[in-house]
Formats: sequence, C-alpha cells, structure tokens
Amino acid sequence: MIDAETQEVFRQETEALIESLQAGLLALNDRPEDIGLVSQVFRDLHTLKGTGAMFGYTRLAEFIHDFEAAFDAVRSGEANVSPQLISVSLQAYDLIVALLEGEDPEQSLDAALKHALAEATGKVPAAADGADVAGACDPNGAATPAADGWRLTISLPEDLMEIGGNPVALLEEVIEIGGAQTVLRADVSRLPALDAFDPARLYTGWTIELPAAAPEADIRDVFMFHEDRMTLSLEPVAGNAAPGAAAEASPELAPEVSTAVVAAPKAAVAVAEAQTPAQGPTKASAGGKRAAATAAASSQMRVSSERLDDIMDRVGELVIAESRLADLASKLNLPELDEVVEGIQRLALGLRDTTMAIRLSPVSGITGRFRRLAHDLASKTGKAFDLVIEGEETELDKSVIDKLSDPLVHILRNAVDHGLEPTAERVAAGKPERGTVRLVARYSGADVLISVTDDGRGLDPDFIRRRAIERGVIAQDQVLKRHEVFALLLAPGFSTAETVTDLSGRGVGTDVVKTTVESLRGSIDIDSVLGQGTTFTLRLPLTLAIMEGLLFQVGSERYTVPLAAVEGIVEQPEALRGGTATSTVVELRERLVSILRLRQVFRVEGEEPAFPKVVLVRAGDAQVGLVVDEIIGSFQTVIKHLSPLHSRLDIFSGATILGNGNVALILDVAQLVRSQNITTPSQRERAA
Amino acid sequence: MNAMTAAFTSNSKDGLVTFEMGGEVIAVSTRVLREVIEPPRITPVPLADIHSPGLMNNRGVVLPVADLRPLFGMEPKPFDSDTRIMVMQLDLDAGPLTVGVIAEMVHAVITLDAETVQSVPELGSRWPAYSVTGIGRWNGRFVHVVDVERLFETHLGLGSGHDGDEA
Repeated sequence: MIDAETQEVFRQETEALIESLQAGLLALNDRPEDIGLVSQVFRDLHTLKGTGAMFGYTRLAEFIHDFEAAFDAVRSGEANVSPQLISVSLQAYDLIVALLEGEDPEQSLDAALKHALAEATGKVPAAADGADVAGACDPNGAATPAADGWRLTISLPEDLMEIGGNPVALLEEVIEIGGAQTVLRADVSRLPALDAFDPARLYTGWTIELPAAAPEADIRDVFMFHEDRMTLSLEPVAGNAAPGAAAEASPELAPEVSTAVVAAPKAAVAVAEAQTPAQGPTKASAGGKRAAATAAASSQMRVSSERLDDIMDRVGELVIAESRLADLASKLNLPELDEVVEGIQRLALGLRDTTMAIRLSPVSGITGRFRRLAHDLASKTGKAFDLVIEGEETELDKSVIDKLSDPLVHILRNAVDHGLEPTAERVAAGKPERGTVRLVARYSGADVLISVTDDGRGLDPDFIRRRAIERGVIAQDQVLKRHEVFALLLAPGFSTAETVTDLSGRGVGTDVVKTTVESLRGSIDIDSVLGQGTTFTLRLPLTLAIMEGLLFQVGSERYTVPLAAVEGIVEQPEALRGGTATSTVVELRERLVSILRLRQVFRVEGEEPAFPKVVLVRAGDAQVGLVVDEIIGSFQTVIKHLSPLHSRLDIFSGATILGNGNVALILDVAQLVRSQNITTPSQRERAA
Repeated sequence: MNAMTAAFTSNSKDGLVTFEMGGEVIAVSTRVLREVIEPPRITPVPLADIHSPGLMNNRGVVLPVADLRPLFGMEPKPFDSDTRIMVMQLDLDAGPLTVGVIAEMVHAVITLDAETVQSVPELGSRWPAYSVTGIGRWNGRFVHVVDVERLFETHLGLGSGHDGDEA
C-alpha cells in the first residue's frame, strides 16, 4: 500500500511542516496582524492533518482538526491572534510533535488543549461541531459499522474544476472502495437557471450508497483535500430502514440491498481483514518519524553515536598506522611500495573526511528550542526582547552540539533574567524598549565560537570583585585582570543575582556550564560593558577526535598546533635574533605581533638553530607568533587525551602518536598565550 | 627467579614484584602490574611536574611516565641496560590510571613471610608518609612494600577531593 518511497516523502514533508509551523507561530507572536502568517499556519496545519490521516495518525489528525479550526476562525476574522492563543498553540504544537514521534501522551491532554484553543478564539467548545468532526477521523468509526451500508451525500466545491480537481476521478475512487454494489445518484438541485449557468463550475451533488464493508476512513479520505470547502455527510444506513426509501427511488436497488443484508457477516470479516494490513504501514511510518526527529535535517539514517565514535576511533588508528607505514616506506625507497602507500594514504584521508563529515551537524539543529525558550522567557519575565540568531549553518561535531544545548539554555536564561532590564528601566536609560539577545555561531580557525550577547545592564566588575571576596572565592588583595574578574561568575557557588527567580540565579548551573564546556575541550570568555550589555563566548573545537595539524620541532621534540589556527609561517626576523625573553613584540608585515619563543617557554637548553621560523597562529582575537626551530609539515593528528598526571598543564590540549611511533604534544594556543600573560595588541585596544 | 615460599598476609593477597630504585628494593602488588617493558622513547612534557616527566607510546596508547624517585628523595640515575618501565594499572579515587613507572632494575615476583614483615618506624624514615605498608627481608636485603595506589593518591594529587601536590 504505502511504499518506502512514499513514507520517506511523508517523513520529510512532516519534518518541514513542523518546523514551518513552529516558526510561523513564533513569528505570529511578533506580528499578530500578519494575515499571511495566519494563512501559513493554517495551511501547515491543514496539510499536516491530511498527511497524518493518510498515514494512519488518526489521533493526530483529529486533534489538528480542532487546532486548524481555531486558525480558520482567525483567518475569517472571527477571532484575533492573542498571546493566549499563541501560548496554547505552542502547547498544542508540542503535542503534535509528541504524537508524530510516536509518543503516547495523556489522552485528556487533547481535550484540554482543544478546550483552551476554543477559549482562546472566543468560541465555546462547540460540542455538536466538535463531535461531528471527531467522528470524521475516528478510527473506531471504521471498525464498527453497525449498519448494513453507508449513505454518502456530497456537494463538492463549485470551483473544483477551476482549481484542477476532477469530480469524475473522485467518484471513481469512491466506486473502487465500494465495489460493484455502489450506487450513485446525482443531485442536480443546485443547478442554476440557464442564463446563470457557468459550464466551468460544478453544480452537481451526489448521493452514494456503499456497502458496509467499505471502511469509513477510506471513504472520507477520498475527499480529504476538499473537506473544508465542501459538505459531506456519511451515515450508516440500517438495512431495514433503507429498502423502502431506496426502492421508491430506484426499483433496481432493492435486490442489491437485500444481498447486502445477507452478505453482512461476510462484510464484517472483510472489514476486520482490511484493518490488519493497515497496521503495518502505520507502525512503520511512526518509526520513520521518530528517526527523522532525532536525526539532523540533512541526515537520512539514524546511527547510534557509540557506533560513530567506534568508527572514529578506528579511523584514528588507521591514520596512525598509515603514517607509520609511510614513514617505513620512505626509508625503504621502493617505488612500488610508495605507490601503494600513496593509495592507502588517499583512502585513509578520504575515510577520515567522510567520517568527520558524518559527525558534523549544523548548529540549527538546536536553535529551534532557543527560539521557543525565548518565547517562554518573554512571557514568564514580562520583558520584551528579540532573539536574533546568526550563523545557524555553522557545523560542529554532533556530540559537541548535543552537549551544548543545556549550557546555552542556561546562558540565554541568564541573559534575559539578569542581563535585560525591565522595560521602564530601559526607557529611563535611553535604550530601545525591546531588548535584543543575539546568538551568533561562527568559525574561528580550528574552533567554533558561539556567543550570546544581550544589550542589558552589563556586569559591574567592582560588584563582582566585592562579592567574590565576601564569598571567599578570591583573596582581598588578589590582583585580577578584567576578563578574570568576569570569569569569577563561573566559579562554583558564585551568583550575583540579587533575587532568586524560578528561572535562573540559584548559583548552581553556571559552574556546570563551565564544566560542560571544558569537558568538550572548550573555554568560556565573558566580556561586558556596564550599562551596555554582556557577551558570553563559548570557544569549541570543531571536532574532538582528529584534526589536521602543523608539526614543528622545538629542541629534541616535536609539537603540533591545529593547522586551521595557523595563519602564516615566516623566517625569524633579524630583530629577534639572540633574544632570550620568553615573550616580546615585533613588527611583522607592518603589524605589531606578540612573539613567544617556545624554546624559552619549554625551557629547552642548548644552541638556538641557525634559521628559526615563526609560526603565526590565531589566539582568540589576536595573532601570536611562535618561534620554533624547524617546520616539519602538516600532519593528521589523532587527539589522545592527557592523563590526570598532565591534564593540569592546560597549555597542552592532548598528545598524538607520530609516524615513527613517538609521542608529540598538541599545543593549546589560546591557553599558552594566557599562561604567558601576554597582552596582545587587540586586547590592549579593548582595555583602553 | 628467586621465589620464596612463605605466605605474605599483609594487604596483598597476591604476590609482590620487587624492583630497585636508588639502591633500595621496593615491592608492589602484582595486582597492579600489567607488564614490564624495555624503556621506549619517552617524550618529555615541558613544565610538567618532576614526578611525571613524560609520555610514551604503549601499543598505540599514550601513557604518562611517572618517576617516583624524587618522592623518595632519591637521585635520578640515567637510563641503562637494566632500566625498565613497569606499566601499572591503578584504581585511584580520581579514577583508573594506567601509568609507566620507571624502575632502575626489576628483580622478581616473590611472596614474603608474614613473620619477617615489620611495620615502618614512624621517625627517621626517608619514605613518604602512608605509602610504605611494611618492611620485609628478601635475599638478605630489606624490601619496602609500597602501596602504590595510596602513593599516587596522597602524593601525586590523584585522590578524591585532594588537590594538594607539589608545594
């Protein structure tokens, strides 16, 4: 009945519809007068209902029918879009998602939400109407046709043919369901006088008698796409009542009806049989939808993350084995072997890229819930603000994205709860009435930066300092830089909230944010201007498992930095020759660049090489030059974590195994710069 | 192998492996010992603590290398043909840790006669507190039985909630 391809279409279609629906509802909240949005929501609901019913989601279809009715009322001007309506609609939306994902929420929820929807549109929950509608999609209706047949009375929309509909095809579908016993009668009572007759319009109605074996849902489905613009009544016809009336109208009908009476038990069996196969596709499509909900929009297959991790581990080992092989081959100098090694190298790198691409997923996968959160926060706090999201297409390791959701929710809550001032305060400060919270994701070298910025009251460094001393987080005379003061906010047990709200500010959580981000090898930076706003910036590595590195030598050892962070390599300028300071500043390419001599940082003894190189790397906002002895080249770096014996040395983000089997350390440039207390030129500008 | 037959009934139900550092014989439980290997190339970790000077590649896994000699106040000795790395799998408060411990020479797997094992004198011991569970005799020499897990927890900062270390 429903082939895999059709199901796939259903899956994709509902996924897009659901997204569009939520977006439409949230947009309506901002522009309640936008009739285009109302129509969009209505259309999405309508299509969802139709598709849902077609694939056997009867509870869903039934529920959406009432949901849709509410927006139909808005569309026709009977009701207005109110915050109450949006709020109920979002809850209704949640129910739809739950149903699509194959969950089974409390049945009473449907009725409660329907009631709330009717209330929000100023309608008493229409009992008669509702009951009728409920019957329309009631799966039980089809299961228990207590009657001996159906009488279907339809009057299709007059413009059916103008919009491309074909009444004959619809009738043929009905006949197919009813089989040979179907009887059709035309109702021409709507035919106008000849001078008013428009040949392109459809005036004819039909009354159709169908045998009891015809499933009710099937009959209704024929007219699904015209349902809201036509009249349709489908009544069971009792065998004893019908013959008289039918016989009068059509003498030939009587024998057929009596045949139907005789055939009744058989028909009941047929119904039961028809039901059984129908369950197959229903279940299958439910499973399909669940998969769609968890997988990224662009992904078509659900794979457990452990399995992906497994593949990644093996690819990592393969890359290491490959580099060992290449190392050996270069010593043996056999052209045939070199060729094989090159082939393996190509395959290994291709496999690595594909595996990484599987793991990458766009940030947009979690931004939907932030939009929703923003809506809920606005209604809870009573603060009017806009959430602006940029760079949703930025991709990150899926496992990183999954873990980011909670920290970001926390930061967003804080931004709204503590950052944004109440409207009156904003107006008094000469700010726009509506606050703005921006969530921006972007690439920066080998990292992804995700920042949350509010235009609220900002942070008071003096206040934070006082509070930290009060709570014993820092000593009275401790000297801290600006960013270090702000970082105190993330210290365990530290909270500056004057009042504890139910949204945030209990002093728990913010340190959890820090722990989570650090467990992802990331870091958090806080910057704020008092009175103007605060920015939380999360810096995260693109991937946790493997990276393209630049390998270089310092003393007897080799080190690697993420190649994506490398912005250039130059010969050491003459001005640096013979210097022994760990850090200094030099003019390079007409710009001042902070320089770190790695031999000094690592306390390497011995003579400086004749021609040291400077590797220019990006560290946060600034460029830093690392003086190294020799550049080895690019290297597939499989990241191995350091044990607790070394993990406190945060200038190293891990280690890797080289082709010759030796271990090389991976430098964390941002931490290295921080540890050496370098004030980079751009930071100096900002502090000024 | 110089095996002894008497049972040792201290905290170790298993045998002990004896090795040498700074001219002293030290014994640890065979339960923590995974293997003894010839020293591979050790990658020094700049700025690391003196007790954990480097990293090594053990079958494709990067393991930290620990040098316990500074803890015992022993002078480091350059690697020679007797030097071995004892790969130990430790179950610590802070979590499991696989680590390579430098041994100047590895002797044998032994068992000690409980009667010959004495408790450690409190004063005048060169050994870090709480790490030596007893002193026994083997081949005419003193053997210091070391609780290596305790040693890592109390002296290398890998205990739970204990962040103390190289002051």
